[in-house]
Amino acid sequence: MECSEALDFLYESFDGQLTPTQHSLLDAHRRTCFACANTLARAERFQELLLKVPQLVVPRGLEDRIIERVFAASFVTSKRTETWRSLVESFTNWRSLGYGFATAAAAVGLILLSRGAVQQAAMTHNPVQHVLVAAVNGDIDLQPAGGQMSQAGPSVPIEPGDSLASASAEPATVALTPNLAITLAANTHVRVGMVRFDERTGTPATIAVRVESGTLGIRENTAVDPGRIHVATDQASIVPTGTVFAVGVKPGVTNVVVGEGSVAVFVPGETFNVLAGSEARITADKHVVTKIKPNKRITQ
Amino acid sequence: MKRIAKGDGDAFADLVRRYTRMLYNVAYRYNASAAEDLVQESFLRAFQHAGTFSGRSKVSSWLYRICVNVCLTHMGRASLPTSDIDDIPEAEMTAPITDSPEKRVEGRETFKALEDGLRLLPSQERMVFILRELQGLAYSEISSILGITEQAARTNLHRAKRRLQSWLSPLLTA
Repeated sequence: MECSEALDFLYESFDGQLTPTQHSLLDAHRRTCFACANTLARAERFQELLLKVPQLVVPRGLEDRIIERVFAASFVTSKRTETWRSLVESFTNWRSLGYGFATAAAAVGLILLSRGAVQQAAMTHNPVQHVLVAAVNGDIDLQPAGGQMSQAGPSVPIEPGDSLASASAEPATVALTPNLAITLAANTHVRVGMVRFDERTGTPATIAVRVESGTLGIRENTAVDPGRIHVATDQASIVPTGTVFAVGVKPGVTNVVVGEGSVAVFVPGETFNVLAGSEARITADKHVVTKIKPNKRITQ
Repeated sequence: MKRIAKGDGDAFADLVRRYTRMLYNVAYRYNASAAEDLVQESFLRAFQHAGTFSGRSKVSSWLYRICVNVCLTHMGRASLPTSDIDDIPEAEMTAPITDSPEKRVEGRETFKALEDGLRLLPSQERMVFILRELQGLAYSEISSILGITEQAARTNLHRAKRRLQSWLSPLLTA
């Protein structure tokens, strides 16, 4: 046996691949070649070391961070090719949107109070069916994935792939949980993405919503519901961190206006925060954050 | 995987919880500083391509393949210069020692030296070594994941071991 073969034979022996004859050759070489004997001894110690290399423990919270990030990024990275529908409402009309938003949110609050425990139960996740049931205030058209568009009633089950569209000139509010409501301005179309439920409580843990066109207001009590909704557009994903905010979409541009708290914005390769009183304008290649003008401020 | 392809968030969360540790171990050994990003990118691709999973291979093999591609692609994109163990002067070809001999073999220093040595290996040798010696995969599975023959996997592993053994030789001396 050549010295150059001995180490490969030893490695093969670790895999149980050596024949008895090859074993004999290797043992004989080891006894007669001092240099190889040392090398082979080190190789055996190296193999012993490898058996003791511990499996790494995953950093705390990594799984949750992955789920959240993938959730947020999954919409951003899926580029759409179809032409955007034209917007009817100007994105700059924040004052009227804020007024409508506040009115609709208050109406949903009244619905919740009047329906009490029954409504509360209806809007939470059913652990058996895994269906999100939302309360609707205003005129909303609902189109299930692959189904026909129809007017939504006051209480509707919502599943991944469903589309929601405002059906009148007035803003309409959809309460997804008792602490999370979205308001669709006129001519707004959103699509529901992945919905994930908390394993322990059976309540919705994360809800992804894509703004296809128009302007979507979001009101989430993150003191109770920490960051359940992820709003996506072609340019970014926006995640609340304690907030009232709105997302407007025009072809190639996403505007995010934050009224209270802040939102985390995920764009491909970068994450940034937009604080209360600020507005972010996001295009495919850049984003600019500026203070919003008083007449654009979202009011409750 | 069919449920994930249909947008089932619970199924995706289950997948992440079940396989994060497996992919993290591969990604960390391959590139510790980017491990979280590599695992995240792997799961994002798994989510986006869940519909292409045919069921012919194990889910773990499919995820390994995605993670390996992400790692290798990341290495190709990385702007930081990387060293090849062959380019290092012989005087620097061994891991530095600071611990006492009795602490060496099973001590942190040895594992750290192993990780340092791993990063000096060529990409494919490094990945074969990780999959075979640290993850315990069969040659047939490594062959399928990396798209190389079993013999090529063996050859890569032996080269990696020779280099690492040389790198760690001060720590392996009795």
